[in-house]
Amino acid sequence: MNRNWMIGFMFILFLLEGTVLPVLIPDAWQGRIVPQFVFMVILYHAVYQHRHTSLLMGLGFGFLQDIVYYGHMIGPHAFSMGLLGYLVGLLFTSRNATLFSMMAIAVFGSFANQTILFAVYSLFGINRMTYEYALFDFMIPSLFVQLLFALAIYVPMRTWFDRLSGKASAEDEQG
Amino acid sequence: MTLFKLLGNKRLFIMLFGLILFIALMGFTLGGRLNLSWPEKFVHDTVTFVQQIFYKPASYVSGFIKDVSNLKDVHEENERLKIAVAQYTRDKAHYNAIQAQNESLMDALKFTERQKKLNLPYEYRIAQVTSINVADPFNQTINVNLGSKNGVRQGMPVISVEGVVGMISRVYEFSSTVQLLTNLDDKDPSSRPISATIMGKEKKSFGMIESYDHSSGTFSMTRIEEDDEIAEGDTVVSSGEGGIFPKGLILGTVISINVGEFGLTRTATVQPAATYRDWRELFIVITPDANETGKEAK
Repeated sequence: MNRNWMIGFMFILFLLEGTVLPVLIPDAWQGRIVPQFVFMVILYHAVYQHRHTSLLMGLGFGFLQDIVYYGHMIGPHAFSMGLLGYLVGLLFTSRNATLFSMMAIAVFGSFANQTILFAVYSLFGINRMTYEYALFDFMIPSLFVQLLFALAIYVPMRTWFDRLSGKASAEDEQG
Repeated sequence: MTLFKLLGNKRLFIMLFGLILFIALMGFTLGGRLNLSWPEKFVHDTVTFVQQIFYKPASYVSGFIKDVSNLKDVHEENERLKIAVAQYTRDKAHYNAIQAQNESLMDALKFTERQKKLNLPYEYRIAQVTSINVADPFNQTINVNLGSKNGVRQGMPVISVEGVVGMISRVYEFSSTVQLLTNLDDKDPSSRPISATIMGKEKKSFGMIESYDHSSGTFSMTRIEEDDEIAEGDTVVSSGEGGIFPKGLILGTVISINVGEFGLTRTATVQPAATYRDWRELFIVITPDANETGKEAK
């Protein structure tokens, strides 16, 4: 039941990303801020839950993003979100990660995500920007926004996971 | 021996298999596909329907705020529009006379039905924007709420009040995806250049809008001949030559004209007419030609 609520929250976040955020982003920054908030939630799952959860969520929401905004091809987002969800889970899973280490993971994770997307689109001959230009044009500005979002959801996410694990251990004791 | 050991590692095997699967999927879905599979259609149609519920109030609120801040300019704008309307009413009388003459000439020259159709004004359908892709800078698309059930076909131009915004790239049952003109690329074989001309100098000017420059936010119009009468400040419209993109749609304004790559032709820098922000309603241009080719493809 709990996980279903989480998926519902992430789905609404995905909807807001495509509908409300374009209105909120100031005109001058349009195209330079690339919010990938669903991916931040997936990173939280990778660190505080299990890597398989984040792998499945990354694949699921990646495919959702790919299909709904199907322009050039289907797959880049599912590939990078799934892979990064799994890798981060493999390397950094710890229930007690501090705020600082979580923020570092958020920044490096979203940076890696942008880089993988850049590489995939370059591989298929769609992207013509140089990496340097992309870095200064949108990657670094959007890192700050990602970091802000990750900070904003840190406390709610931690309490959510704590309650989840508390419930699970209580059930274990009963069973 | 170590190779077999490595292959025996289940995790590594699955990851490599996944990588191959993903590259195959991306290669398969790359480029123009006419028929989409039903899971894609189902997911796209339902998600865009839900997104519309979110997008509408958000855009209304932002529109309201913008309207309030523009309140001062309304009087001035009203004066300007009054003058413009007076001009249009004068032109309308002239236009009617010319249209009647044109029709009688078409009859006299025994135009076929198809040729007559090409000269008709286009049908514009209002489409509501349902969502905008902001999470992927390499793939700038927006979704609108008209689909194949409403007569939309792949390749139809989409315009805003200011000018051309993009082309329909994928069509689903009740929704479709618009690829913005900012995705134009002269090195990509799947992106088609738009043949363009200058408003008022249709017979004396020709060029191709081929690519969009992200750093300056402008189009480059290439293959302009030396004796072309193009000048700075001219309005660029589509010429309709080549048959895919209909004629007479506003694309932008010429900022500067330079010598082209090999010195034989010239290249113009064109400021897009559409601003690529704050979408609410867009118009899909239903072209008779696109309709026919769409039916043939079925």
